Amino acid sequence: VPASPERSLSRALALPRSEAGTRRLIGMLQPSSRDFQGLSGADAEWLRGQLLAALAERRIPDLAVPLIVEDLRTSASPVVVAGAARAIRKCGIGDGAKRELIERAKARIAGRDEFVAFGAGGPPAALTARQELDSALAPAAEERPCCGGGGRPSPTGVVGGAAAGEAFARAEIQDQDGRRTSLAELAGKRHSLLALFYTRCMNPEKCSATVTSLGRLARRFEAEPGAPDLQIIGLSYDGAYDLPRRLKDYGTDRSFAFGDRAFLARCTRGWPGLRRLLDLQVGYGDATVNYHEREIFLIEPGFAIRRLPPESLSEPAQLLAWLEVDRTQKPPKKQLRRYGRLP
Amino acid sequence: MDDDRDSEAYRQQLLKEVEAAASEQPARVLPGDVSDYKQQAAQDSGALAERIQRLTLQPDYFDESVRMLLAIAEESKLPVQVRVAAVQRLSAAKFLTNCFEPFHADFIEAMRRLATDASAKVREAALERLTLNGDQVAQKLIRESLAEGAKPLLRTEKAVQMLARDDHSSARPLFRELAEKGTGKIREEALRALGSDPRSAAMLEAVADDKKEAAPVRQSAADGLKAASPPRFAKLVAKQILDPDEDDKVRAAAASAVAHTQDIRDRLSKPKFAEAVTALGESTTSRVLRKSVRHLADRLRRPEG
Repeated sequence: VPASPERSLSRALALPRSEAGTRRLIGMLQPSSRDFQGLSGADAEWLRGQLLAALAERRIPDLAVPLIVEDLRTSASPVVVAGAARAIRKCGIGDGAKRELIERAKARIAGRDEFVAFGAGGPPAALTARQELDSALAPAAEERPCCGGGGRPSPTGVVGGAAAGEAFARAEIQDQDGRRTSLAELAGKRHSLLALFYTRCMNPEKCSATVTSLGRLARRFEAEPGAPDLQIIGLSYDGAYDLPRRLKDYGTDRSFAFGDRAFLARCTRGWPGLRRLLDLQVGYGDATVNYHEREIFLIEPGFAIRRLPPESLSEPAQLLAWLEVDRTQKPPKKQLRRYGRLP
Repeated sequence: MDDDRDSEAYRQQLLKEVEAAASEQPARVLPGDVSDYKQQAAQDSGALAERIQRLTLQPDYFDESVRMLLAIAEESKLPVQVRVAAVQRLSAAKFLTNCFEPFHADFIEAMRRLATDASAKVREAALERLTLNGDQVAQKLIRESLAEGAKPLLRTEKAVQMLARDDHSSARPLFRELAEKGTGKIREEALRALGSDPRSAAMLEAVADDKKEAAPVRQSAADGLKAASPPRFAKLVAKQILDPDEDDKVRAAAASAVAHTQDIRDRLSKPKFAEAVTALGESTTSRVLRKSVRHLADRLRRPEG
């Protein structure tokens, strides 16, 4: 049964206001949740915005803050940024950081502003998305300091060891020139930076920017003496559509420096296992992706995998530092789902 | 030096032409002119619509013009032709992004209201505008209106066309149903729309390859297949071009598709295929096929072109 965004919203609004209820609401926000399954891209955005606004009615745990910040940083959807604006108002992330996020979001949706109504069957919208963003700058009564927006986000362990080895061995990938190999063979050789994208993504702040940044990194590492032994892989969320030629054209249009250690690829076998292993935050409509987060992973040759903060690609120095840490740390033993537990 | 003189002469000539063209343009219409004409009791709706289409969008008058257009579009007592003209002029104003920003939210809200207007033409104009940007409300209204027993908002083929504008619209089950059970233009649009879905490639290939199907239906399925699976499309058209039992018009269309699409041409750039195409160009008695096939043979000989 395809999900219905209205039904999902009703369920979300009926969740108890306890910590457990909030955890379930945050679970519903994940694009990989059942609630996003089969929705159109526009419906998925609507639901995401509504759930964010519902979250704003509760005490927001720290672990949800990066998610809210990321939507303000990248979303081009008025309803999503308006929902995120309501939620960010409750997060004490510092006036300067908040103002910058809000101003960037306002500029991004300037040419597509619309009135946004929240809640199921509530009154008609009184504010536009840009007005919601302006309101977010006013201090909220319940605002409290939290750590989510302050400091530098750190990589999180996802999975390592045998489970990763098995899923990687089953995952066959094909690059932009049609060459096929298993992900295990590829990732077993050297450290890999794996970023997810798809060519039909409509948001220039997400996939297009990701592939452009990957290409820039590849060029930098290629030219830099003493650069790390790192391969750069852009992997499509939409393997059935992103055939080699499409990958090549997409990369070429974004000056991606294809080479032995830099390529774009699609998964031709073993995608469900890989998606589960990496806990990919992507939802699918009936023909393509309907919503996704920016997802970047650092994989070491022993298959320890770390999820990197989404802004990593624009901070090569930080990336190199993490790579160095990754070489010295033991791989994580158990899976830590992103939103699986509250602090 | 000659080149410089030539380019200067060309520039002068161009300037003269631009000035001449500008002087021939009808005078711009100010908001006050539209207002005055609208007040006249015996107004001609065609003339009013024409004035609206020429309503100035110059910065000095932009805000006044847009406010007037929004009001006219929603004034249900005005003739449909006039209201549709207002929607079209608003669409032109939307291109002036910076000026239009303050009106965008009101514009979307107005278009969403007009999407269920009593007039079919007004509905179509509003939905046309909204679906260009993948509007959630518009897509939902269209999907719901296509459900069995629902009141249709648009002609079905138009509805399919609008939903198909967005690869993310998740209307595949609907497109599949119409591609299987629909007729005429509806079926053609549904087949074309399935191009966004790689899982529909086998079905599209089967229809495009079925000689019992009508030519426009096969053509639509081929269009869909080209987007859904370029490798399958390449195989199909290669077969069609060289199949002597195939309809000449289908073979000619297939040859043109290969000649004009580098991706497909690259997939078929094998000497054996190029030789067969050249031989066909020399032997066929069909004029339409000969022209397309010779063009293709030429492109295959010069792959970089």
